[in-house]
Amino acid sequence: MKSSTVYLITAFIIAFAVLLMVPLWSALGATGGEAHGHAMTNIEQPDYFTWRLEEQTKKYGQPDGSVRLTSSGGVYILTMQYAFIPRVIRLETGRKYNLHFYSPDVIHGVSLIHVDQHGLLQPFSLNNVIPPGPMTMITIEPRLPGEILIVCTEYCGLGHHIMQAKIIVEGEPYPVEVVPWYQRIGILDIPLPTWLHHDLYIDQVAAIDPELIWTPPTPMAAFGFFMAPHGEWGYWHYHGLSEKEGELLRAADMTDGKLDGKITPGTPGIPRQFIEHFNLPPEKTRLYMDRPTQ
Amino acid sequence: MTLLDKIKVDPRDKKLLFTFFAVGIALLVIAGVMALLMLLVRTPAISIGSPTFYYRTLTGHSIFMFIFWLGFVQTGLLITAGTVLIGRSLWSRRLGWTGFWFMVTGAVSAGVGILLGAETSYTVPVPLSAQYEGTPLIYLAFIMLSIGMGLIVINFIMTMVGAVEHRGSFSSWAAFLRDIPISSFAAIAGLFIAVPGLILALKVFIPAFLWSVGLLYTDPISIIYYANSYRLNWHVIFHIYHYMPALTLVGVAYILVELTADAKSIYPKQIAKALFLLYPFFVPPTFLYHLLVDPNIPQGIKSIGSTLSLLVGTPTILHMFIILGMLEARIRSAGHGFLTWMRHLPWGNPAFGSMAMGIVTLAAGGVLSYMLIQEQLAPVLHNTFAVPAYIHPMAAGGANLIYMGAIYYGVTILTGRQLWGLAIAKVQPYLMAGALLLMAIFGSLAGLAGVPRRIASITLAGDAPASWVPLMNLTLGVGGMLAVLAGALFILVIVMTALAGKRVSTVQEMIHGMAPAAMPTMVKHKTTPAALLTIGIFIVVIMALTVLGFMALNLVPMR
Repeated sequence: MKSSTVYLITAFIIAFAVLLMVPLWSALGATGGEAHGHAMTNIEQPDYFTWRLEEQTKKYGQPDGSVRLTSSGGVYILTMQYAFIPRVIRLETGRKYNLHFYSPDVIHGVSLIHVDQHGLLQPFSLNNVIPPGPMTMITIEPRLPGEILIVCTEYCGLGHHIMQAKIIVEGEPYPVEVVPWYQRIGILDIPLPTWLHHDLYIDQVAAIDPELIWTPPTPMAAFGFFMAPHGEWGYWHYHGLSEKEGELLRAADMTDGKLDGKITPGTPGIPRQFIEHFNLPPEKTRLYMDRPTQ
Repeated sequence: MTLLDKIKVDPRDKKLLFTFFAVGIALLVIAGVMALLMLLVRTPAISIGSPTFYYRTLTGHSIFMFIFWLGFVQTGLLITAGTVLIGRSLWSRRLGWTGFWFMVTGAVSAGVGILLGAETSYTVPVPLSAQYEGTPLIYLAFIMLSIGMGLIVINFIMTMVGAVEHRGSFSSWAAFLRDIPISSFAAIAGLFIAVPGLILALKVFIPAFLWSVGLLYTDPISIIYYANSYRLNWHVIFHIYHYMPALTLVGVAYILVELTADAKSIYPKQIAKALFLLYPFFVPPTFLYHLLVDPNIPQGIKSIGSTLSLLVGTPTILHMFIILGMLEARIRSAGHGFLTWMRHLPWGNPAFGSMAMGIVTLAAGGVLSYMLIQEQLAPVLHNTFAVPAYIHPMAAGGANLIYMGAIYYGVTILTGRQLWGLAIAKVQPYLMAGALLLMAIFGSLAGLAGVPRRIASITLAGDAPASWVPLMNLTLGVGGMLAVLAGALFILVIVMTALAGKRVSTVQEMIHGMAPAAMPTMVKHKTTPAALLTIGIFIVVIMALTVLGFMALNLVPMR
């Protein structure tokens, strides 16, 4: 073989070696998951979100206008030109919160910046997009007390730069077991890539209640992982219900006059088995809603 | 016979080509002024001007620089590839001028729209843009530009078809494709993504225009669905549009290597041509990496999109291997060693300096871009200043600098004058590259620290982290300002050459100071270890930065 051919073939191998990134992701643990704002795939109803927001203020509202959540759970943040509502949110270290952002007007973005972080150089930020319509969820588990700034990062109009809010994290620094990165890169201990983790999660659910697992019928099963069963979309499907039935259910919840997040058993058109699950205590249902995306 | 001797510009096409580049440069001036005005507002140490002024200049800068300046210069280069490089004249000059006037109408429409008040940024998002009076004119500008470019593309195709000897014979077509220069073939390969892109642009911006004048999607429910589909489509078009420079700059670099260093490829031309055909395969499916943090795209699709995106740089990496290899083989054939050959490159030739610095900044931007297309790292960098910090070395560096190198030749040959201010032209590319690298380094650090892009003020009512202000002062106050200065020097040289350059009669005299480096051929050098090492280092740096990126992700104290 001519030497120039050898060089050319080597160049092709090097240029395609960029695909080694895929096993590298696995070796590094592909830990992006929970930091991601992966959320529902369906379009949210404005009045439903407003209702959630009102409930939140009623339950957790403080005299200074902030809301204070001392246990893990969902936090609802209305994102509009040019404010995040509520403007001040108090959370505790060591809890896991799902921040739900919803924009009724134009596209917005959200950046979470932990100001008091002791980093190498600076704080790091977590960024997500909030298009009008779908709800964006970001799961955070604050570990250090201090302030997390919420800043809009998608240009949303002339007041874009004044659009900000604040999370005040209270409590003690939360101890976390830190696995050094060099221990994560083990040849024998390579974790599965992110997009194969869905099955593991389903195992965890099955350990609690095997009846809750909905298996997509073949050949749809082949596409199972395209339709990442997270967020509300997957929530309905885990119950063997279509999205449309889910919508119907939510509508029933809103129209039974109580607005308590529960549905009166016997509501016509709603399967009995679903009503039971919908009326489960939040700790149990949250398992599906807050499913980490790894 | 060198490439320069073969270059013949049909005098009837000369005027059209000159007008394309002249209008392009005029738009570059407008966009550059907008850049300077933006810097005045956004640099924390200066901070003069209102937020509205900033958002308006931001819109103007992005539309004129990224869409119109690149649009005009690339269309001009397309005409060059179809006429000058293959020794033909244009199929229809009337169609060429019609296309040109459509594009000019687009530029004027965008300008008027921005002056009327269209602080939309160049994404012109639905439904936000409804709040600005100038919005319909911006959509109209995009429609006009697409039509104009489409007409030039038709003209180019017909010119190419006309150059085939026997149109009915397959072997005649094969011989034509084999014999045309690499850069002309690049233009043909580019059509495979440009044509669908232009059609899609019309399909998207015509309804958007109708929406903006209140004829479509008027009810509040359909607007939500329309907003999300517009966003998706816009990113597909934008993605295709910002790979046109990637393909064009490589095509131009092949010419510049031959013009400045008289280097011929030691690898078969067919390999280089085949690599251009990879772009249409790798580019379109990877638009997803702009939407990695959008909530309404399933996780699995994002993972696949991110994996495919890894390949998007592969053709460019291989082209750079061939281009660097051409230089290496040429200089080492003159008897220089493995470690010393780089010193003997024609660094003092402004066109070579532009090309070399273009490749350096392209590589720097390329490394950073690989951080942004990874699905797991996207939330740390998306919409932060890390995005402009990578796109500027790639577009303002890689593409712009290489086009500037070509324009240094173009302006002398088209006007028949010698370059004015050769000393300035020699320094300009290095200043530009240095400025853009400063912007890339400090801008990426600022992005990592969470500084958002496209925002008028980073004070956040006094809550902003302390590291933001010094990082942005270095990024914009030093890097950005120096880049604007380097751009101004380029404009000065080009304008003064056209007005006051010394008139000469032969091509050899016109390119005074930019003649191919005269070098003896002592030995036949057939291997290119330095070029191979360079792309190897590029891949290793990407991998190393990815590991660092994941470490950073693990440090976020919110998970």
